[in-house]
Amino acid sequence: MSARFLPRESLPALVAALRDGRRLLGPRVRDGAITFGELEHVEDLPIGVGDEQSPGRYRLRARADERAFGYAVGPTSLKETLFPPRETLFRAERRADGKVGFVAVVPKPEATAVLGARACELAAIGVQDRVFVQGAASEPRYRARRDALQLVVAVQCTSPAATCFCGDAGTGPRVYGDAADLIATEIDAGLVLEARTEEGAQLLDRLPTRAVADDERVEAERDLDAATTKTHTGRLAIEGLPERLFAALDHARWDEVAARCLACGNCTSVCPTCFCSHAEEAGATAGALEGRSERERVWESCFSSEHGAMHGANPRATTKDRYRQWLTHKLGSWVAQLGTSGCVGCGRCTTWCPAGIDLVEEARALGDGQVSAVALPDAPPPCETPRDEDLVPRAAEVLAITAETSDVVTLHVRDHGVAAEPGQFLQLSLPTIGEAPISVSGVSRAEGFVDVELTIRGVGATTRALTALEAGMELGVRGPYGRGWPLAALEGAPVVIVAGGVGLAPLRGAIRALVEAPDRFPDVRLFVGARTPEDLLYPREMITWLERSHVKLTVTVDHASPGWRGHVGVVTRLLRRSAIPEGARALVCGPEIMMRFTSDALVAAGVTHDRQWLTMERHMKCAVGFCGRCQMGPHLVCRDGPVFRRDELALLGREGF
Amino acid sequence: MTVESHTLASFPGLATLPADALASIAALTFEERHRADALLFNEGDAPGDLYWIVRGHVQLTQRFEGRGTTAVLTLSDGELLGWSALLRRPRVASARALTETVLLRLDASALLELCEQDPRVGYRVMAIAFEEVADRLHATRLQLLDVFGSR
Ligand SMILES: Cc1cc2nc3c(=O)[nH]c(=O)nc-3n(C[C@H](O)[C@H](O)[C@H](O)COP(=O)(O)OP(=O)(O)OC[C@H]3O[C@@H](n4cnc5c(N)ncnc54)[C@H](O)[C@@H]3O)c2cc1C
Ligand code: SF4
Ligand code: SF4
Repeated sequence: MSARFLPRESLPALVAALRDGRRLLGPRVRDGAITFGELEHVEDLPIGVGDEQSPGRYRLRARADERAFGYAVGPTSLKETLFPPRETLFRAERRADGKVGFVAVVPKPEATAVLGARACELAAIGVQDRVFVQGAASEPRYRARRDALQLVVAVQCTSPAATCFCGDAGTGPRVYGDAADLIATEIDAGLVLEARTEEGAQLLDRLPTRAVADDERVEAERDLDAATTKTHTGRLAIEGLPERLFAALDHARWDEVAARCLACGNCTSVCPTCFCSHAEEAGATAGALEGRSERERVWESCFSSEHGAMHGANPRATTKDRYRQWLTHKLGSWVAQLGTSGCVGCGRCTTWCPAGIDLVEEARALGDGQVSAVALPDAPPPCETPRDEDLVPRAAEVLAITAETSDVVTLHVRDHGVAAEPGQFLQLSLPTIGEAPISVSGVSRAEGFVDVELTIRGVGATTRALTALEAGMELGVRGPYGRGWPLAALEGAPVVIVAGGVGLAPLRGAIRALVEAPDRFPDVRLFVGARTPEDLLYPREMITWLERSHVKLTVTVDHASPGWRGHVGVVTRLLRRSAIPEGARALVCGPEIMMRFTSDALVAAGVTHDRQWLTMERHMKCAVGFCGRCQMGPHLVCRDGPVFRRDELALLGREGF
Repeated sequence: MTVESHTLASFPGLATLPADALASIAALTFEERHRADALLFNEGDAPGDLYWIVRGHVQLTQRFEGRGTTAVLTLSDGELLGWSALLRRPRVASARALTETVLLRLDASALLELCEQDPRVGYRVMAIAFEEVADRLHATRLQLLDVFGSR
């Protein structure tokens, strides 16, 4: 499509055409910076305003001309529009009789047009699309806002800042493809416009444009070429960077940068692609079981101490761990998880870092060495037919409760969802309290419903409230989620199962399947470790397993109580002394440290990493890849796990992941 | 009655020893059978012999003043029992058979003498004992960590 020229004095016509029945977002000066916001008049644009940016520094300055788009991106982006910093996911209620109800909150955003989006901005939207609408699950709130973004006019950047490196990142400063409806390049006299979509062409037709003069074309190209040269800084080679960063996990520089980093999270909040979020119950009366609350999603930073924290453990305990997580995720494992780098080269994180930490400088220094031994998996391709995932639980009734130990109960729950496979988990929630991922420890299917067993240890607010439920009460459930145990891969082979503590719960479904099918699983050996004899789960059911001739069961406790005549000692010792049959495959679940030593003991017994499966635990909020919380190196545990083959877990047992 | 060399060769750590070395260990090794509940030795007993468990479960217990007697470890098939014998120290724990148990009992004084005389045997025996002690130390650490308790 051929370019047209819109003289500067006709800019109001563009604004008016974009505002025709739509909200218009574009750049404005607010609080000393150029940010995205609603535009009513041309005068709202930052006319004659430019900026100066360097690591840790941002300043507006007056330009010598009247350009309206003569600045580099400021601290906000369209992320705020599509994925607001705080939003309600659903409303929840719990009555005095213990019944619960949940109502989804999905926005109906008004039709929106954007003026002045940069190439990096559009690339960032593309990255967020991969998270929210192009994975296996699609987020309806994001999708609604995305769909409401009807008309986008991009202005190609001719005024990059010193911190910009979109050229290196391959995202700008020119806008490629149909990421925007209309592409503009600003010169002193006005805008050179080019339509990229049908809508863009229609818009162009309605504007008082004329043909582009040769000198105007030359001026536009010259400015764009200069910006292209400037943003190809040559300081960062993106190609192969993930592998090089994962090879540098022990680099001394992480300590140096961590000593400067304040862990303030500014970088993640200004980054247009960062998507991690927290979720919490808002509006609840403290401590009250009955009542109403709203589950709210709030931006979260991987620099916060809560980001990875699990009950009793924080895999990323130090600022070094968190800085390394941010950089290796953004520039590295993002590619493995989402098929694209998480960095579009906008430079915001560097400009807005109070410590002036330069992302490019760190990435260059850290990523200039060898290629990694940590295998980075290939990302799943964008999903053509994602399922809708509104994150809203359904009510399910507690039929009965079995007390297992002093702090563990099994809930027997009638659910009307899909039956879980062994090893998968559900998200359980209670209005006013919270939500927690819990593995399904047993399933029986019936016409129209599924009876699910959930074995829960009361450790924190949510799990304690769940373990206090009574028959007849309800809870919220969603799922099942995740990848379960690979039962098909075990067929015919001797199977060794090692469970530690409540780790027996996620394995029980698999054990039952193995116990019931001696023809498919002729040799099953169970090794169960617990803290004390009183902490053993399912002792009665264990006796029925022992009645089967193809099943052998050995139980050990760390601390014997008087009268205990079984084994005492850690579960790995059992493996050491038992002859593990050739060709055996192993399933392992328990605390991470126990799994690591068990895995080593299995290797010593001849069970190689490609024949071991483990189930991992990481902090989780959404369970479908939206919240970013369950990072473990290249993996999102909710989506790629929780069951992993051991050789996929190169980082198991490494501090800080 | 002492055992045959091939009985000893079935213990992984000994299989690589030459026949004459195995035979000299066999000459000081006796097979014993104990019924369930038999007390094998008592915490504080004078230095005794070294055992190898052929079959069965043996429980080690220790007395902790104020907390009574506590089972600290169970040993079974193929494991070494009573390594303190090699140091000629008093027993640090009591050992009781939990099931009917078959043991190989190695005369510790004679074994130590043999170790001095034949460095091949000396090295093997000490390597086996060292591995056992290292494994137990490591396992004890895990036990102390209380991995199932904290989470
Ligand atoms: C895939 C998976 C399966 C699990 N299966 C079981 C099970 O079968 N039985 C069982 O008792 N426990 C299970 N857990 C652990 C359980 O989810 C946590 O104990 C629980 O989330 C703690 O929540 P809380 O509110 O009681 O504790 P708090 O410490 O108050 O936690 C607050 C919030 O932090 C997050 N969080 C804290 N700890 C964890 C954790 N360990 N894992 C993930 N998120 C966490 C949750 O979002 C939680 O709501 C599983 C965890 C995962 C990831
Ligand atoms: S990591 Fe930094 S430069 Fe890259 S997109 Fe995010 S804010 Fe921009
Ligand atoms: S890198 Fe900078 S902006 Fe990011 S958390 Fe550290 S100090 Fe804050």
